[in-house]
Amino acid sequence: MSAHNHLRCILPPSLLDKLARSDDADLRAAALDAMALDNRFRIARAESASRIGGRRAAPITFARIGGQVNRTIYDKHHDTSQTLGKVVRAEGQPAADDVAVTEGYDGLGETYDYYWSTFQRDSINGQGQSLLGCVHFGTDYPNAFWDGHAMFFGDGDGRFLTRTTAGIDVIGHELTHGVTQYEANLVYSGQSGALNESISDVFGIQVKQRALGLNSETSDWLIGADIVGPELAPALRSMKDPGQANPHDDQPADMDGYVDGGDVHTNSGIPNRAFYLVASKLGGNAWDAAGPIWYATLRDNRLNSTATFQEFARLTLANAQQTYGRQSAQAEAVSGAWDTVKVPL
Amino acid sequence: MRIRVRRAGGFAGNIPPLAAELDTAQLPAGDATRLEQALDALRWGATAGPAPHPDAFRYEIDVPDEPERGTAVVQEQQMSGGLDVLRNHLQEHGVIEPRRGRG
Repeated sequence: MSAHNHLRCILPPSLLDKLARSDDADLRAAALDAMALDNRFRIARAESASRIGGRRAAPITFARIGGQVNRTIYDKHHDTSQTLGKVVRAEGQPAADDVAVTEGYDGLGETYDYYWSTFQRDSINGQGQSLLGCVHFGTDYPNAFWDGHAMFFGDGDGRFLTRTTAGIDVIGHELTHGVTQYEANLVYSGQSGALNESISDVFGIQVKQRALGLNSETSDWLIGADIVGPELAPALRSMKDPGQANPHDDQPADMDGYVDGGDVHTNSGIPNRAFYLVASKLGGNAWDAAGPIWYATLRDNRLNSTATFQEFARLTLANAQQTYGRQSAQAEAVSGAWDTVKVPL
Repeated sequence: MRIRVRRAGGFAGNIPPLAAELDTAQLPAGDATRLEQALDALRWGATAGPAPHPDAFRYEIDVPDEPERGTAVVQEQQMSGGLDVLRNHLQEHGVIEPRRGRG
């Protein structure tokens, strides 16, 4: 089969239709292939156009096949300005002699692959946005963040956190903040802020599980296990046992422990555990059913930017029922999980 | 002048804030002057604004011997200039505050 279809160009549908009825088998196959591709673009455009309200994603204006990551890694050389810095590795270039650059490049690739292969989502904005990662941010900076355009990774202070690019779940977490920004755009305070954080952990752990070949049973469900220093070992957060990841972990496991005015990373333990409970109840890979339910909820136009845990929970159940059936094991798992963490449906 | 500083938030925001105290009398004169000038320029007692982006650090500064000032909440991009001394001191000597009680 030819690697290049010469009919993947602008041809009127009537002509494609005529070619599809040709006696020439190769020409017929090429025309059918082009028509299928054209149909896919039409669906994507229609879906995008129906989702503009309240979402930041712009309607698709240029057809894009997708599935091709475009990464650029920058070296901040310990500067703390939120500018990109010097390009040290662009897409397709060979590995540099700097482990943070390699980890950042590979981690962004794994995260892109997760979103593309699982949801056919083409990057952060769904339209092939370039992934920009800035390493060596600040001096001994014990943090990583998404600033609305790019991801920044510190080298760690050695006490609390170490090199943050070492955690593929961390990279998945930060990139997912971008996805959330282009979808529900959850306000970063209160329960919507905790949901924003939880969604980043939910997809960050799936990126790690998929990259390492782990399923719901074999995963440790720990966040940040590869980037903690001695004071926060063995991990930053546990989705399975919120509050038990390290001696300082402040996450509650259910609504009885909800902290009014607490940090968004604190109360995120509650929806984190709900996701773990769904995935572990269903077994297999977290991205077989639990992940798609959460992803559909994140993209659901009914999810407001100021959503509460209860509103989010109800939408996860609605999406599970819509996709798998009202009495399905998936819907029952979702219902049971929110009941366990004491979020009433 | 005694100064207390706390750092909250960040990717590890489920860990209670890191806190430290510093006395400008222990600093080289130049650093103490720069720090005190930077402190004078802060907005004291103002409520914390929204986080500039996910996983951002937030710093809270107060002067225990001048409680009338209230607390200054500073986003990490503003922790530069004379405040560098405070940030570096916290990073080197800060201690994690006790875990909150559970309801």
